[in-house]
Amino acid sequence: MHKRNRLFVSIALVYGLLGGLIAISRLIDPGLIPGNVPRAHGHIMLLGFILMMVYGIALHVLPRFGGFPLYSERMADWQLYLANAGLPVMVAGWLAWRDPLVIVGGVLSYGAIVLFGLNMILTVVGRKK
Amino acid sequence: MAAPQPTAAEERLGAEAAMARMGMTFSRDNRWFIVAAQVYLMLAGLGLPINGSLLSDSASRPAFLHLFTLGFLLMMIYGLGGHMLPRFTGNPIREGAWPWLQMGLVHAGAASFVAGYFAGWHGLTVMGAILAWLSLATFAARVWPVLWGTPADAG
Repeated sequence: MHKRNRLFVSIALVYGLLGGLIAISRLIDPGLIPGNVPRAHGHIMLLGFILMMVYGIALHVLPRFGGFPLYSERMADWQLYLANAGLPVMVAGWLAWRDPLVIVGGVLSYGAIVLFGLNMILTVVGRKK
Repeated sequence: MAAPQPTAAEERLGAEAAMARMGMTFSRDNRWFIVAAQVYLMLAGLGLPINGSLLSDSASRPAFLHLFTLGFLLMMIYGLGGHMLPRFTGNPIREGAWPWLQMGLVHAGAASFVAGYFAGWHGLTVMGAILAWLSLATFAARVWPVLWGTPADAG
């Protein structure tokens, strides 16, 4: 399994644990962490845990199931960087009530989504570079 | 005299045994994670006929949402991740009591969390969240050596 894909799965687990801790702290003491905690929790779990788990597994299996090599390793590397730059910025924006940070983080996260989507489409249809 | 031909049932049993020897089929714990995920999905889907929406705006929203996420999504990840990741990396996953501890924690956690919301018992909801988190921590502890360890580390 490619190191980048193992990183995606590992980071997913870290985000899952972090998102859970944030939710537990909110349940125990709603004032402990400032900002929009439910929204931060939801996006840490969905974009951080579920989506990064999907990224790691899909980048490994879809080329094999599709019968073609991954279209672009470089796109997948940049997907890792963008996804992990975007989510912390977005979460910081919610916790600090800073909309510009949320927008920047959202754009970076969306960049990772687009890179993943295009890379998977071009891989599964067997397009050569 | 020709040797007796195996029946279809015998052939199927033979094929299943061969697949089990190859390690392609689910282990018992992962099989139960997948089964449980489908049960939680059907429970979460009850929000559709009851509320007219998977996620209503009523007080039951977190309960149905977490039946879907904790019950269905997380258990699918447990079952599929626990099955596939060791095959992708070549490292074994911790078995024995660990997956059953993880399963007990996630069932107790999801049930307590949801029951706490429906009953309005905040303490039960908190306990459920903590149990579910411990289950994820158990899964992470099982999977980490699969991703980064050598086979000797993961035994």
